[in-house]
Amino acid sequence: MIRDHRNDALVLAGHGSTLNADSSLPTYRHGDAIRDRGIFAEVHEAFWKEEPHFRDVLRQVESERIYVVPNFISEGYFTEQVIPRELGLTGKVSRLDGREVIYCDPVGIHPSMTGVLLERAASVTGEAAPDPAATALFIVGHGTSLNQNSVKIIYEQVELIGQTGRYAECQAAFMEQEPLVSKWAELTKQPNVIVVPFFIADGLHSYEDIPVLLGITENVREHGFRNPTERGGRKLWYATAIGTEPMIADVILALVDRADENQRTVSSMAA
Amino acid sequence: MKINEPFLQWLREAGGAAVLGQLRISGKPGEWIIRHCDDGDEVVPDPHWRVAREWVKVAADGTYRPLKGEGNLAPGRALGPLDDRELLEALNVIYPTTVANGVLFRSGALRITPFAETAGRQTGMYRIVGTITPEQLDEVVAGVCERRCLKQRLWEPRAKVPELEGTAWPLLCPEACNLMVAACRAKIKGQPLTATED
Ligand code: SF4
Repeated sequence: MIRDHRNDALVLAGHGSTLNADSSLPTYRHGDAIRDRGIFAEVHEAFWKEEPHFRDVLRQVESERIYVVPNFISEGYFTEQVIPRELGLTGKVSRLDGREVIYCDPVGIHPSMTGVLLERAASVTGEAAPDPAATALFIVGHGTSLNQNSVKIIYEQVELIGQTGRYAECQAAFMEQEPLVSKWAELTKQPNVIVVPFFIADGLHSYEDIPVLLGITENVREHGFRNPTERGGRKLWYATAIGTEPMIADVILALVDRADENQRTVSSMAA
Repeated sequence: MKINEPFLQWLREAGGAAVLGQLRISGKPGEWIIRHCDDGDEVVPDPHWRVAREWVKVAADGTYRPLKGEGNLAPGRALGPLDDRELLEALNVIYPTTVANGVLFRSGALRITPFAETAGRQTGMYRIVGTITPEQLDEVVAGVCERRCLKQRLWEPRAKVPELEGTAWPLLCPEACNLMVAACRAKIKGQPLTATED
């Protein structure tokens, strides 16, 4: 870390759910990983749909400098409107009741996500890793008109992964817009396919819907699916949501560093 | 703002026999034990505070508990021995912001948000909540807050005046939660109060 945070607090802001008990799990896991490193005086998790709510969480924070990191996949409605409004933020750095609240970028947009995606792709195939020169990697998002930022982020990551040359191909695919994930077999000719969902938690979309769209199961809850699944003489591996990857804890810390760097630049410019 | 120490002081003064919602806290500094009020001392406490996240997740009948103040915390679990910090972490999981709300209320610093302000702030799918009628609000308060939640509501209608004496720590609600706001949306749309969407 570029700054000492032993007197500071970290607040991870996630979506949460009133329907799915496991939605908040990745946010808690990353929070715990950071707690265990003893970098911050306190670590808190807060949610839109679970308690503590964004609106309330700062009341239970004692530190005078507070970093808020949205555990969201892209900028959009939640990071630009809901979180700032509910926390009462006035900008990237806010003064609230004499405390300094530093609002960081969301997890999904940090450049180090490229490494996280590659790690997830490598870990899902494990020891049976296919020849990368005969493998296509798909990064899958939801894709709606609601938030085109997440679509943009996926294309950026696809570009960056393509530049590494790690796999024969890297492509974007979506649940509800072209190119459709359900057409994966037409989108690539490679004999091996790895699919990584660009979602924060294994919610309904990444856990239940995408495997059905991929055609690797009829119903995940009843039948599960195999990794790899053989389809038309080709092998397909499906990973869990990118947000469940333990490396995200490092991404969160990198976002804190980035906010500190930005602040430093701003203050040196003002000087 | 000091939140934790005033609470710990209260707890020490309660002589290790405090009640907080469905929990009772016994023991002494460094050796706090959290138990369910319906359990005796035979339940073996788990020393890891993070287990509290599993505890609060599902009710005894296996259903998910999105409302932490709901009076359906399952008996049969206990946590401890916990040090001060672990105790506070566990309480922040089981009853989020309850320690802070109580401390702030006692010092007169807890801000209470009228429902109209909460409703007026909503955007997106919850913007419609700003159009709620007093009758509809009344029904949601009765059907969600008063029927399901143990918290004492500090906002109208039918705001409560909490008791601060004794060895029970208050569970306070200074502002409508998202679950209640979502129920208002359902009410306005003529759906059942439990019709939740994420
Ligand atoms: S708004 Fe109602 S249901 Fe929600 S926490 Fe307050 S009292 Fe409980």
